[in-house]
Amino acid sequence: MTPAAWPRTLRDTASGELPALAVLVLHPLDHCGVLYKAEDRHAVHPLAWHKRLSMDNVPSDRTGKYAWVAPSLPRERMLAVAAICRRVWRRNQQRGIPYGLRYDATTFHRTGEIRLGRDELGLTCATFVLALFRQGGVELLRLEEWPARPDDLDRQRELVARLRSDLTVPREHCDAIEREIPTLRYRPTEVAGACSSADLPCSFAEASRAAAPIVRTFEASLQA
Amino acid sequence: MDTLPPTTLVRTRKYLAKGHKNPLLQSLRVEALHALESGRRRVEFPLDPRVDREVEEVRREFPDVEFSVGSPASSPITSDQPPLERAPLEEFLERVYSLSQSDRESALLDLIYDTLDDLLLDEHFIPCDAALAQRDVQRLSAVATVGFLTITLTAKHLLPSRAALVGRVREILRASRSPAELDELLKGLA
Repeated sequence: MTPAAWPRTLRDTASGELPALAVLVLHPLDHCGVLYKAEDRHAVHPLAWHKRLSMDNVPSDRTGKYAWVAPSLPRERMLAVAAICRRVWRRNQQRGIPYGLRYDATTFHRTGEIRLGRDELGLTCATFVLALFRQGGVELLRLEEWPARPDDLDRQRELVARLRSDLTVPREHCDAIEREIPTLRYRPTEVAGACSSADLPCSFAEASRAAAPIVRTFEASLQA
Repeated sequence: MDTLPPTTLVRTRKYLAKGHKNPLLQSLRVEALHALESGRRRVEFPLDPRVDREVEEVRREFPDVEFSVGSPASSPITSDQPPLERAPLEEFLERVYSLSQSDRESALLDLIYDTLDDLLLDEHFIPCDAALAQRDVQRLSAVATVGFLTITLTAKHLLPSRAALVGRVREILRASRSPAELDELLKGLA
């Protein structure tokens, strides 16, 4: 499939067409997860929130609010990352994974446990996807190219406010996350868009370009 | 068997903490330390002229540990390691070969990840390295090969046989894949 064909929506995808691995973006664009093949089915694996890791069946999509992009990788590499997803799920399904904004060196141990980078607190839904691929030896983004953007700052403040309103999230953790701001933000649409790149890790310019059709797809779905 | 006094373990831990450039040497030291800590005091390693010098060096450093040489055909996993690691290497590899011929790719990768991870987690680098060294690459599917290389990626500096394996895989898959496809398959895994 050529990059121009991305993204696909789940609404327009027959179950037999799903790839071994993909990044799934959920409208309204602020959330993403990994869609991958297990033994006899596909599953969706997002970091839903602080300490909340999900493993869901592929959702039914009547309105076209789920878009997916398969990485430009050999099938064997996709399966290897999918196996890491299963491992991370098994290891963390009870205790979850902490939420955090700053992302640079965080990865997963071979066991599936999270290994935080220095001065990093956890992952977002988007950096969770990046870390899963990283554990499979695949860097999706050229992180060093990502710029600071004013609207990302707004989004990060909004996230901290939502964390603070959730009484299950310890106050100290919210304070620590707030101290991370400002930090670079890797947007879910950029992470998904990067998958379509034939040259990973993907540059910021290319990821931004590839994110645009995802936004347009959702807009078209909403108007339909 | 009596365990060694804590002071000995502290000393060996300090020794290991220094870090060493030779991964095989480091692997042997980790094995020796693990043997001391578990009280079994015996480390078995595959017969390989490449390791002779390293073994002698570590033998001098760990006089309380017995180092015994196994044959290449025998399992390098010691009989007094925990049950999970006692499973014969050959049996594990046969299961991998068998699953490689089936379409149960998820089960194949889960087996490889779980087995090697248990070895790596306990820092049993020598048995893990032996699993890499003894594999019959031609009986493995490309999925299995990539799985082996992926799960051992973060420990590659401690697994001397891994680099040779990458070359061997490249050699075998050359018949069915173009150089560009091979590069793409192994990108980030070497």
